[in-house]
Order: sequence, then C-alpha cells, then structure tokens
Amino acid sequence: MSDLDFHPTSTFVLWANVFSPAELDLIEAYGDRLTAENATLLSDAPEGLVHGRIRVTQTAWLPPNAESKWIYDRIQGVARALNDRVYQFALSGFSENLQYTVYHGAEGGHYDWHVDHGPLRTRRKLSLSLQLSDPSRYEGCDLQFQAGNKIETAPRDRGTVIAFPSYVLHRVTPCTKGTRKAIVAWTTGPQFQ
Amino acid sequence: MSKSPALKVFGPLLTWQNVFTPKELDAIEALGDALMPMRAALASRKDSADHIRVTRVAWMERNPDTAWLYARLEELVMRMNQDHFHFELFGLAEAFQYTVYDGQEGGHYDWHVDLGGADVEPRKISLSLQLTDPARYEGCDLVLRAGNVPHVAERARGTLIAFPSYVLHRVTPIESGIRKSLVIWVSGPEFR
Repeated sequence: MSDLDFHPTSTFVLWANVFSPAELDLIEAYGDRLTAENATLLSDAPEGLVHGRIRVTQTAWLPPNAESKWIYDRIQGVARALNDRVYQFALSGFSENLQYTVYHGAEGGHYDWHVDHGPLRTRRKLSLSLQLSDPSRYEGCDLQFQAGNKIETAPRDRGTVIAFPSYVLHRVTPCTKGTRKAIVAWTTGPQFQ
Repeated sequence: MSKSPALKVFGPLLTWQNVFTPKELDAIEALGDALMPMRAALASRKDSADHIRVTRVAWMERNPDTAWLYARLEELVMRMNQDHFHFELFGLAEAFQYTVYDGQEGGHYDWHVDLGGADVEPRKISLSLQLTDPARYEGCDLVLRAGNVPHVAERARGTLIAFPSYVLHRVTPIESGIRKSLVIWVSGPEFR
C-alpha cells in the first residue's frame, strides 16, 4: 500500500497497486463466483434527480466473512488512510458491504451521471472504486468526473483505487467491448456539515 | 418580507420565492448599478479567459446602505441552514457579488463548483437572487446538476436559489437583454 497520488484541488485521488496481480486474480475469481450465483442487473433510477435507464450493471454484494476479510481490511485501510491524509471527513465506518460490479460490452453496461450522496443516501461520505480489469480487456467503460468545465477521466490501471467525495458528479461511460470489473466501496458517517 | 414565501426543495436545492418585495428588489438593483460593475475576474483562475466566464460584477460590501440587506439574508440563511442544510458556518464573510450578464457581450459562466480556492474561505452554501424580470432577457438560465437531468432554476424575479457549494452549476449564454442577479456565499470550515 503506497503510491498515493493527489493534489489539494483534485476532484479525485489515486492509490496505485493496492493489490498485487495475484491478489486481483483472487478477488476477480471470488466476485465472478458470487455474480454467477446471485447477480442483480441494476437498471434502476433510485434517486430524485434521475431520468430513464441510468444504469446497466451486474452487481453482487461481497458478504463480509472469513474468506473476504482480507479484501475488506485492505480497502478499508486505504479508505481510512486517504481520509486521514486528504479529506478529514467525519466517518463512523462502513455500513454497506463491498459491491462487485461488472459492466458487459454485450449488454451496453454503463452508469449515467449521478452522485452517491443525496436525500436518500445521506450517509455516504467517501466513495472508492478499485479497478479489477486489465485495460486491454475492454473498451469504453471509463470512470469520469465533472466538477468544472472539463470532464476528467480516471486512470484504468489494474489495482488502482480511485477515491472521491460522494457528492462529486460521476459516471461510467458505456462499455463498447469486453468486460470491466470493479469493486465499489462507500464510507459512512454523519451528514456533511 | 412579503407574506408566506414559498420554499421548495428539489434534491440538494432550495428555491424560495417572494423573499423580497418588488420595491426592495428595485433598491438592491439600484445599489448594484451605482457600483458600476466591471468585467469579472475568476476568483480562483485569474489566467482563465472569457471562454469560462463573461460577466460584469461589483462587490456589494457591508455598509450602512446595505446593512438591511445583509441582516435580511443572514436571517434567511440561518433559517434554511437550521431547517435544511445543517452545515457548520462562519457566516456571510464575503461581500455579495452583483452580477450582470449582457446579451451584447455573450454573458455566461461555464460549469463550475463554488467550493473556493486557496485565497478565499471555504464556501459552504451558494445563493443566487434573481433580480430581473424573465421577460427582459433570453437564455441565461442558472442550471444545476446533481444527477443525469439538469435542473433549471426558477427565473421569476425575487426568487432565491440556494444549494451546497459543491453542486455543479453554470449560467447558459444570454441571447438578448440583460440579466442581473445577486450572488451570496456563506463561509464555514471545510466540509467534513
């Protein structure tokens, strides 16, 4: 766990090489087993400020247990360290499980512009996304942010964690080929003050 | 204050109508016009040229002429913060910004957030008071985005729009006429 990269005015921060390639293979195999068992195709519009089919993703929740503990520990460690060094948000912990998300080119996987923090999700403070797929395995499917007049694109490097305040507008562009997998995590805390 | 201002909540945005009487709005406009707004410089990006922002602004400082306006807005901000935002605030630390978008010069302000840079206190709540009758200009909409559908702010004169300063927003190009508004930022410690 090193490779923290941020600038005080960044829209998002990066932490490269959070897991080794061998560990990423294990996470992917574990996630694929879970999605094969109980994948949910999310294509919902849960918030007040959305319209239409904003999301097409296969997702599965990682149950916190002995088998997944090392994944939880690593990602939560990264989240805490990032928060200490960059954000200093008031956090109470992690009330939601890790989410394994799969975007398939074949079904036009995407997630339109949204924020993770809102009237129905007031407890999300810091959002994190772990890139699980090698960038050569898919096309499109970029995680993008907008906090100004230009759209910013997150790096695709396998093993990199991208973190951002949950109020930042972001999207995943349509996957045009192949498959992109990611782990998504949210830290929880009292409403932004 | 006119009786029973209507407060509407839409996601992170508050819209408050008829907060000031037409006569009070005239007085605010006269105060701003007397300051002879000059072409604005961006608060945090002085090197950025007109492609991001074209506006004339004047800073409306706290003084005996504006004391009533500061008092009124302080009261409104306190109420909306108690009822809705619950943010930690210092108060109205920055002067109000009187902004003029002119159809003759393609006034606009591209997508941005207000959080602030190195040289200003953190901004927590942003407010915009519509000063011009919507019949007097075209375009120049205040548009906010917190989801995949942009929200176009109410244009009626006297409407006060409030939102957390992290919300992405812009003012679309003005096509004709002149639009005036008063912009207010409420300062506080960094969001946490």
